[in-house]
Parts: sequence; structure tokens; C-alpha cells
Amino acid sequence: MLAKRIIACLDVKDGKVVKGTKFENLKYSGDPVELGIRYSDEGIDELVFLDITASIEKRKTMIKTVEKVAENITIPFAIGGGIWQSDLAFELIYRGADKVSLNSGVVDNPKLITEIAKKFGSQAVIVAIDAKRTALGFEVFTHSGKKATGMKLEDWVMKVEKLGAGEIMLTSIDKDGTRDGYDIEMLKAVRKLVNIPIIISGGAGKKKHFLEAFNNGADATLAASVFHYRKIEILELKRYLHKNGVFVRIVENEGDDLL
Amino acid sequence: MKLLNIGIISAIPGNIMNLRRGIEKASEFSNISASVELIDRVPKKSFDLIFLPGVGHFGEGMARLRKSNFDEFLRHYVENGGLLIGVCLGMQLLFEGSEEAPRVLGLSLLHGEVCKLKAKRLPHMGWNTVDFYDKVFGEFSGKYFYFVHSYRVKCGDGMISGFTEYSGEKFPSVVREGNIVGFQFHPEKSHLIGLKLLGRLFEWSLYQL
Repeated sequence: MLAKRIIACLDVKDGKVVKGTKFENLKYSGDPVELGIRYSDEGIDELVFLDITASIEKRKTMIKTVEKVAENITIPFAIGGGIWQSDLAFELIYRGADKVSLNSGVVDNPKLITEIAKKFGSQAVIVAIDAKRTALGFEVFTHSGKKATGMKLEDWVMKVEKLGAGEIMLTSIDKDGTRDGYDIEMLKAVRKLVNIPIIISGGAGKKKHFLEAFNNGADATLAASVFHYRKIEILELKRYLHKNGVFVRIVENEGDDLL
Repeated sequence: MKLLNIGIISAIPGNIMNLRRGIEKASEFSNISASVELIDRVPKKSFDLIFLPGVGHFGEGMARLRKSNFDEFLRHYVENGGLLIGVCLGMQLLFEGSEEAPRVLGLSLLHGEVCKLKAKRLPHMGWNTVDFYDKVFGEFSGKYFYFVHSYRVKCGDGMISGFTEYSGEKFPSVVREGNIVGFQFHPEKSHLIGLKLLGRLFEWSLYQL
């Protein structure tokens, strides 16, 4: 049976991981590759690198990150953070990214989804959606949650599925950073409408939050800070989920003889 | 110690660089020395082991192989005892045809057809287990490997080396017959266990030569 996935998200700025500099007893350089390898060895199922560089060098740093990651990491990974043009998306995939994650900014250019899906298959396209509760109900936001689109989440998720998105990465702005659980209500609303996998993001703080998400239709759960700051150990989380009836990939001493 | 001469066919789109890196790492780990070359046209030199990776459309993949005469080359290569490993679409191309491209003849190196998975949610993407019925890979039974595909092979039980189940459908995820092996998943994306599996494959290969 197909395993439910746990995904770690790494924010990368100018080639360095932004969060996660507080590892104890470990020399840590902020190298995304180093952290990625560590997560893979601990049993993470997938990695998402979000490039938040805001300079004209961004394109270059993104490509460099992808190359370095592809060279050293042997699990699937996605790159995102400001992919506006199809040629950049293509280049990132050619250089070794398994998937690209398109920002909520793709709202202004939805045909980008179709262009990438046609060329590489829908599994290569994650559409990230940020939403929060407004007078509209669940409303889609862009620009890191600052700009309202006037669009209902329900309409947008159905549209992106139709356009060829392979997965939806759903972030609740109301929950993001709270560590008091994923937005289960929002997850349920979207689950009813689309058939493609949903990666739920924003709000993970405890192991039971992951369990709630999987019990309510998430295919994958994404977290950043709880893994960076080692609030939750990946292997322990997976054992807990497994014990509670979620089908997960448990990597225990697997291939230790190779290391 | 014998050196394995490995070629990776790069004439069709695929996970070529990742596969190359995976093979190199696996050879490092397993202490089997290997030289790895990408081959985008029919090679003049000989190889011990050729990988046929591939992602995308069956029809497109076959068209490209045919255009560069790889179909004939691979037939002779296999007839002369060369070891051939298909990965993902590369595994499917080893068979006679696919529902994905109804009038296109496959490489026909193995008997069987390719058809679409029945699941509502496609592609079958993520980590899934393989149950091996083959002593060559027996130690990997129950381990997780990384899959991305919407089509599956239908073939005789005799060549099925491992099964996987998705959405209630059981399909062959590894086949092995004579000097041909096919993996539906991506060993090069399956973390350490994938590299270990490649190492096992190299051991098996040395044994065949």
C-alpha cells in the first residue's frame, strides 16, 4: 500500500537554510544539502526547498541549490519560491528537481501549471495555496498571505486540478506558525472537491496533529520548524503514526552498513 | 576484481543524471567497481550492463529509440547475452505494447503488455512496498521504494520477481527473465535501500558474466 508522506520544508536564502541554526552538539553550517541528507537519513519521505532569496541573483542561487541537492540526495525533492516563468521551471527540473512548487502567485498566470504538466507530467507540479477565513469563507491569498485575491479556495482548488496540478500544498494562514495543529476544517473542505494528493501545511506542533491530518484525508503533511528545532523526531513520529494505524514508511537502520 | 562496464541510454527523456549518480554511489558502497557512460547513440564499444531509463509517454519513448536504431541494437545486445535493465518507462518499453500508445510496437524483448492502473488517483506516486518472490532480491521484500507512474505491466507469472499493490490492484513492480531485469520504481530515488538494491543487481550481474 502507498505510504502517507512526511515532508520537511527548508527555507533557503542566498544558498543557506534560514531556520534551523540551533542544532545542539552539531557543527551546522546552514547548508541545505547537509540538512537534507540528515533528514533523508532520519527517514523523511520528501523535501521541499523554498528559495526566499529576494535579489537579482535568485535564479542563479535556485539553480545552484537544485544542482547541489540532486547530486547528494537520493530521495525526491521539490523546489519552489517565486517560479513565475516556465523556462525557469523547466531548467530546475532538467537540473534534477523532481517537482516544482508554484507559489500562490500562479493565480495570475494559471497556464504555467498546464505548461509544466504537459512537458513533465502532472506529478512534477505542486501548486501551493495560501488561504484564510474572510467574509468570503476560505479566501485565497498571495504575496505570503498579504494580498487577498477575492477568490474562493473551493473554486481555485478545482481549477488547479483541472489545469493539471499533480498535488496541492495547502497552507492555512490562520494556523501557520501557531503550532496548535493543522487546519482540519480547511483540509476537509478541499478534500471533498479534488482527487489529487493534498499536502497539508501550517500549524504542526505535536505528533497528534499529523495523525489528525492523515485521518482527515491528507496524503502528506509538511512541517518545518518542529523538525528544524528537533521538537519532533521523524522516526519517533513515524512509529507513533504507525501505531495509530497510518501507513507510513519506517526507515530503521536501513542501509546503516552503507554509511 | 572485475570492472563492470555500464551504459545508460540517454536517447529518451529520463532521470538520467540521477540514475548515473545512483549507480556511481551504489558501486562505491558495494565495492564493485564500475565505469558509467551515457549513450545517446548506438555504441560501437561493448557494455556488460545497459540501463534503459525513461519517463513520459510510451509512444514518444519508442519513437526516439527507433529513430536512433536502439530497438535493433538492444535486440542484438540481449541475444548476445548482454544484461539489460529497464527502469520506470524503460521497464515498460521492454514489452510488446502499451495501452498508452495503442498502435506502437514495444521493444518486445519480453512477452506482455502495458495497461493503465485502475486507481482513481493517478499517477501512483510516492513510497510503496515490494514483495519479492525472487531470491536474487529476496532481502528487499517489504522495503519501500519510490514510484511515479500511471501504467503497469501485465505479464506471465514466471518472470515476475516482485509485486506491489496500489489502490487494491496488484501489479508486477520488478520483472526478471534471462538477462533482462525491469524496475517500475526508481531505485535512484529510493534512498539507501535503492542504492543497496542496485548494489545487489551489480553482484548478480557479475555472476552472470
